[in-house]
Amino acid sequence: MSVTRVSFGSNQIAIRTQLRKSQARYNAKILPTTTGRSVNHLYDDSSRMSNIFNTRGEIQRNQQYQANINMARIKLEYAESRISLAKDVFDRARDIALTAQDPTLSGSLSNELESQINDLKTELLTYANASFGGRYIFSGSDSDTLPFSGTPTAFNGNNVAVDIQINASVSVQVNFDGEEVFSGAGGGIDVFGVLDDLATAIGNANQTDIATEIGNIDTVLEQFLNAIADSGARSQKINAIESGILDDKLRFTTQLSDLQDADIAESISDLVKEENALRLSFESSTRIVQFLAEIRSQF
Amino acid sequence: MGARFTIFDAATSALSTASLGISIAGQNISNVNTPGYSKQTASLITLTPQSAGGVEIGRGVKVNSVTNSRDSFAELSLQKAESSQGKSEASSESLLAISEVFNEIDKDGLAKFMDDFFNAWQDLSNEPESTSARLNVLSKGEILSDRFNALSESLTDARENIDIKIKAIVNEVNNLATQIANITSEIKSTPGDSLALRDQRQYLVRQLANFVDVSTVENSDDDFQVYIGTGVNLVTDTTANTLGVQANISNDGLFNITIAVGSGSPQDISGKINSGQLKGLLDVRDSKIPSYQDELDELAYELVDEVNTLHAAGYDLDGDTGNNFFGSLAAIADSAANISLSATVDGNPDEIAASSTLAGIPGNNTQSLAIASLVDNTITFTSKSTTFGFYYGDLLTEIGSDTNLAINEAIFSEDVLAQAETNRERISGVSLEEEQLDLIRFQSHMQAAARLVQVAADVLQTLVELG
Repeated sequence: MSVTRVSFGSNQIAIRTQLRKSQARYNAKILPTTTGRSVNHLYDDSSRMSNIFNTRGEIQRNQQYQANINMARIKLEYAESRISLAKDVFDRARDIALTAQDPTLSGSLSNELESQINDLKTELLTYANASFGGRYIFSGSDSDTLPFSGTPTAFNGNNVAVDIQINASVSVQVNFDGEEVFSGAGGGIDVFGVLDDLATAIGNANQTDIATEIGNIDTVLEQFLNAIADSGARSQKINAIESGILDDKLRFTTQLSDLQDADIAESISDLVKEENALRLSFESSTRIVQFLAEIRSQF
Repeated sequence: MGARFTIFDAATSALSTASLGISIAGQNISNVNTPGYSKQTASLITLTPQSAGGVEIGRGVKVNSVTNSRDSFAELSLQKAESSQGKSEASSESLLAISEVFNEIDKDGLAKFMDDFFNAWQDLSNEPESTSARLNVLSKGEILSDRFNALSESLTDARENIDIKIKAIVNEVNNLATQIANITSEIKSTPGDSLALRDQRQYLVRQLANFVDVSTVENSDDDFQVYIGTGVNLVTDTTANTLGVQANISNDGLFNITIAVGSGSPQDISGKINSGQLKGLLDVRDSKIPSYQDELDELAYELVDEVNTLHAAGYDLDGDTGNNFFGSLAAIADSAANISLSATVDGNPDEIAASSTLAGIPGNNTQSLAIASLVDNTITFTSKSTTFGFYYGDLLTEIGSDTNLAINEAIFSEDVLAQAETNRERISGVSLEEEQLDLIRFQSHMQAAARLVQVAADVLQTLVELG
């Protein structure tokens, strides 16, 4: 069996190759330790790349849906609060109407009650014409048009529903049809007309008409309560979707972490291991070179 | 009497042989770090003995030949390893540069800007009347367009940079070809084996192999042919043909590699190159990058098409309809380079069509919601049907995978090259230990020969005194 011949160049190639490999392995372990990610380049693990970017996209969309939910909630709650205030107006109108039902009421007191009803209508108009961010909330999509004006009070907006997307497949309507809620479109009652008629009935001390309007007020209150209940149902829908959004957020964040984050303890341990290997490579290379030089000096 | 004088002859031959042996060892030692040098060895033989009185008397020693330790298989393996290493190194370096341009791991890139763009439409659908939400859509659309433009430009730049490298390599190849032809000429005009010149020529061939796959043929008359690629004669004995580059209009004006033989017109040999740096660069320039560019273009084209189709069907705050959000693109080609906001919407937030009906403005958000939903829609691309995000993710995966493969090939080919170098060194390399032993051996040889001369002189002196 022949002994393999070793030239000066063979030694150099072996040392160079070994050092280069040790250096490359060491360098590969630096980035995960400094960035905290196991994937730092497209070529680190291309099989994970598509999932990483799509998971990041899902997280971004998830954040957007969360923002949409917040916006939907704000708009819905604001509209609901205006309807609730409008309902309060009719609670007070009902009290006034009950007072006005007293046949012994003096004329001046009747006039005062009539005036109060007219004030309530003015207050009601402020709620029906409420705006959010400079946009009327009960005029449908025609949000820069005053929804209710004129005598008798007429609806000037449209019935377009405004939806906000709260997840990939679910939207929620965040406005209320002003004509339906306040003007009674679709089988309801015109709430402004009720106050107008009540004021007239009180002014005329017409007990029959007042009684009729008390009945109408009850219908109005039911109309408002229905709208508030509708708002509650939408809020529940939002809450349910939000719960899923929060679950998704946790899931996507965990998934992204699994895909791209480095196990820091393992990374540091790997780095130390490669650091030692590199140090040993340098030391052994130096030792080999010194040893060969010593041998040659013996000649 | 003849026998006596043969002692001098033997001593003289021994002295000159030992001297030559020392010279060769010295030559080997001094060239221990010379690239391409092959260890030289003196082959000694006994001089034909002289017959005197029926007795055979030795006449000494002579150097029969000086040869260098070369193995054609080892040299060929090294050449091939050089070519493979050159190809994979050139590929991996070019792809690494592209991969860094597309690297969105630690910074924002197209994937995020696409999501930002569609999220801006979501924000707009939350507040369709809002000027700030409209401005945000324009801003995100512009950022997205800019990113497409920048990526496209980077790919174009990468191809042009490769072209510059190709031109430089062509010059290097011509330089090497000329040197090889000149050395062949020297070898043919120099008597003897011209060992050093052959080493130099072989080293030049090896350097050439790093640039392009190469094969050589040498006949008994020392005629030396160098072929590159598939049968392209680069050096015809003492004449080097000239490689050149020629702009190819059908390939965006990038260079074809040509060769001019004698006074003939240059012939395109780009397709005949199979390995070496040139092949690696050509592959990335003409195959990989155009593929990425096509996919990026199609992504931009489909995105513009889908957004514009919905946008044109909607109504802006002025009640206008039929307007594009992005400038319309004539074809898929160059879409990434040309994507931009349409002149109608650019700087005019009110021109963004968020409403699906004329009556719905300003608060209707149906159209903006539809555009925002495009992020989750399955789009039909040439190669597959998927979402914009997944399509781009697949492109990134493709770039990463190609780069990873090229890096691994480069690592592997480096190992193969190191092995081939080691193999050559095992045969042709200089061992300082061997040479030092040779020095000692020939030094002893010379000392003994000198002693022989002394003995012969003493004998002759004794004979003279007797006479």
